Amino acid sequence: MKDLLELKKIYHYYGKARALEEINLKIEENALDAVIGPNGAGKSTLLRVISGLEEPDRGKIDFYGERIDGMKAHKIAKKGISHCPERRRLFYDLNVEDNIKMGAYTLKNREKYKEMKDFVYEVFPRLKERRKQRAGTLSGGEQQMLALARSIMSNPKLLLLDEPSLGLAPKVKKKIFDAIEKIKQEGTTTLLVEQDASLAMEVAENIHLLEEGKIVMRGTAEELKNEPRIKEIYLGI
Amino acid sequence: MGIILEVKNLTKKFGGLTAVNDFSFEIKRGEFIGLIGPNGAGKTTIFNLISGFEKPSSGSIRFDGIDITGLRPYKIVNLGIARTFQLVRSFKFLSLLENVEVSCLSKRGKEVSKKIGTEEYASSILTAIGLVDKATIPPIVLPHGDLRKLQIGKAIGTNPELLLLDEPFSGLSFEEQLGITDLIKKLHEDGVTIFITGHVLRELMTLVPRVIAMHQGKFIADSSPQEVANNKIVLEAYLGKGEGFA
Repeated sequence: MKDLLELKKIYHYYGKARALEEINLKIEENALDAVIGPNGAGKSTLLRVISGLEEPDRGKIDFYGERIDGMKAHKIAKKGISHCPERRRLFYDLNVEDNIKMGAYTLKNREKYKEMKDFVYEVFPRLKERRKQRAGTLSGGEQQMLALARSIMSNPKLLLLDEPSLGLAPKVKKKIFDAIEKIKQEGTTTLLVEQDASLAMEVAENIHLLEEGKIVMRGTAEELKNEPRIKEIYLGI
Repeated sequence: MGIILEVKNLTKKFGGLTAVNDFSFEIKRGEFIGLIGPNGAGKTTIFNLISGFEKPSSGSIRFDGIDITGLRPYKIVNLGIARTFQLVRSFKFLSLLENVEVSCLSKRGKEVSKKIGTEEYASSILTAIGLVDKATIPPIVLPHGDLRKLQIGKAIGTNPELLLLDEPFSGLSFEEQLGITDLIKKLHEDGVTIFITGHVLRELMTLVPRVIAMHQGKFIADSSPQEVANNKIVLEAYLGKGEGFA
């Protein structure tokens, strides 16, 4: 399989604080990979440099062989990278369907729009029930479903998901992760950032462990499952 | 060693969210103790309740035998509890020396200031935190690591018995973290009781002999770092429910 995305020696700083250090990362087409790590490890920053919300200070990012680092975020979105941000960031005053429509603004084809809308309503029947309801009035789990739905409406080639389980009850987490697997099966390559390591390991094929801005370990979920160092990194000893 | 802080059945609700839920613990005078928990666990809320920045919904807090539940922050400082904040706060247009002098003029700070002079006292604190060379500079031009030190300096100026440090390592480089670690150790050796939070645990877990862990507002463990790190509920809180880690 060919590489969809490749990061080469990415560094990023906030002022003098180093957020990412020499990140090398390859994502194959149709993969579902997860980046795990404790709070403050740099997981969100990693997604932000990929989607162009931050310009990396050093290094190179290729998407289908084309260099995208330094490009504006809206251009990167048009190339087929969709970023589902942490804490959802919905248009809270718009209703469910309008939020979904906003996610499709790069689609120029009405047929495709309808097809995608049918797909997200099939994955999230709850959203279809509530399509005229204002997003701000949804429950936390429903808001996360909507964020996810909105982020796949553009039919992206690569989906970046930031902490989709944050603040959700275990049952709701499971629903969200079932949906993520479904989206993946439809052929969307997904890079997931998740603090809940167990959950990430249940769905992702490859795991990249981030600690203080560096990738310190990687492998399949099976390989890392009983790795004692993961615990050490999360708990400090 | 007597009990310096006694927290009993402490609860804080923000609307429908219970940020701190029936939380109890004790700290002995002279202890060096950590408070850990994943993001959103309620660590800062506990600090806000102890230092008077939030009023508890129920429960009690006693300091040195005195009931301080719901007292205003300045009263709590005057009794001997000082705190730092996660996000650094300074008097931007005062010099570093003046920043520290402000706290040296607090009720307890004055006990020392009167004896040795306010400027002397403030300047001895700047020496202790390693910023005496920059005494005349305003904080806006300082790097983040120095600002963190200044926060601690301002807290020490109030001459506290109990110091609450909220995430003193966050956003610091490794070298800067070491500087802060040394400073905190020194304060503890000087007899200050220290209560410290962190979600980045590498520094914290090797620094303190005792750790309280919390998750979703609730108490989950209180033991040595080693034991807490191997506690099944703590591991679930950090890594999620699953097999293999515990």
